[in-house]
Amino acid sequence: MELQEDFGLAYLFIAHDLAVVKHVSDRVAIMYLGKIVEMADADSIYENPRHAYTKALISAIPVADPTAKVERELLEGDVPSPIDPPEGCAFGHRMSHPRWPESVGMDLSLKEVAPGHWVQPCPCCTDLS
Amino acid sequence: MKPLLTVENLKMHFPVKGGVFLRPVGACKAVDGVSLTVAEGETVGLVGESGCGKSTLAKAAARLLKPTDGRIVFDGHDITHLGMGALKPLRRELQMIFQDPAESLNPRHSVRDIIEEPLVIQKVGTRAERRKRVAELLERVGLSESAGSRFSFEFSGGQRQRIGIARALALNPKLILCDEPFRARC
Repeated sequence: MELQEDFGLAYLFIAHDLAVVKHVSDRVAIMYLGKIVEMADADSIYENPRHAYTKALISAIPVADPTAKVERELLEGDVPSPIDPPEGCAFGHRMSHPRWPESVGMDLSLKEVAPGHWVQPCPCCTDLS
Repeated sequence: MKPLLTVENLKMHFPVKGGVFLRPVGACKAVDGVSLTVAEGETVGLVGESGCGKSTLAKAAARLLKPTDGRIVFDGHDITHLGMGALKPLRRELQMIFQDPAESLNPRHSVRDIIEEPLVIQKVGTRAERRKRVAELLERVGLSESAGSRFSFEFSGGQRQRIGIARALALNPKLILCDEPFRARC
């Protein structure tokens, strides 16, 4: 961070842990199976996540309080193989979401739901309101 | 803010070979249609679980890999199809810090040589000037100047990562791609 101010540097920061990224990033992009599912500035991702996968990642951040009861969303299954990815929304497919079949054949390119907040508009994982 | 790096609809597919003659039988779609921008001075975090294509995306954006489809624009130049020679001036501006410092630092070279190498490749300054720059960089990342004559395996994981950072900073880049920099340990 200090180096960034001194050198006027830009970073593309890769991590699989949202907790770290939260402190360093201006904007965050969430990737799932070769695609970006949600992208927004760091604060709105944490305060107002829209995609089910983002919510699951946020619930996986450990809390530094042993007495705190955390309701974690545990994900079932594994990431599908990118050799033969499922049609439609890959995350809805993994969660065997009842509305997943609706996403097959849909245009799932990112939509702007709030200024600067982009999300994959699938019926199964995204809260578009 | 001016976009520094623009990635448009990037696809990175790897052929999957099979059968007796190892013909391509399919494609591994590691990155499948990703668009992203990084503005000057901005930090963009890219998050996802292992195997979702984050590192592949970074390697393609740094043009260490040749993308299957899409467009990469860095600092106003389309770099999608540039060859190794044409990419060389770009490497001054765009550096990468790798996941595993133990693997990305040459164990046969002293730390000083490792950090000096990008300066030598880009023909920056005289030998004495380069040595001075290396000493500055070592100090900047919190290592003593005497560390320069040692080898990377003599350091802890965190110190090795700092050697990688010093090397990435050597050319005063505009953009650094950090691939899981906090994973470094041992």
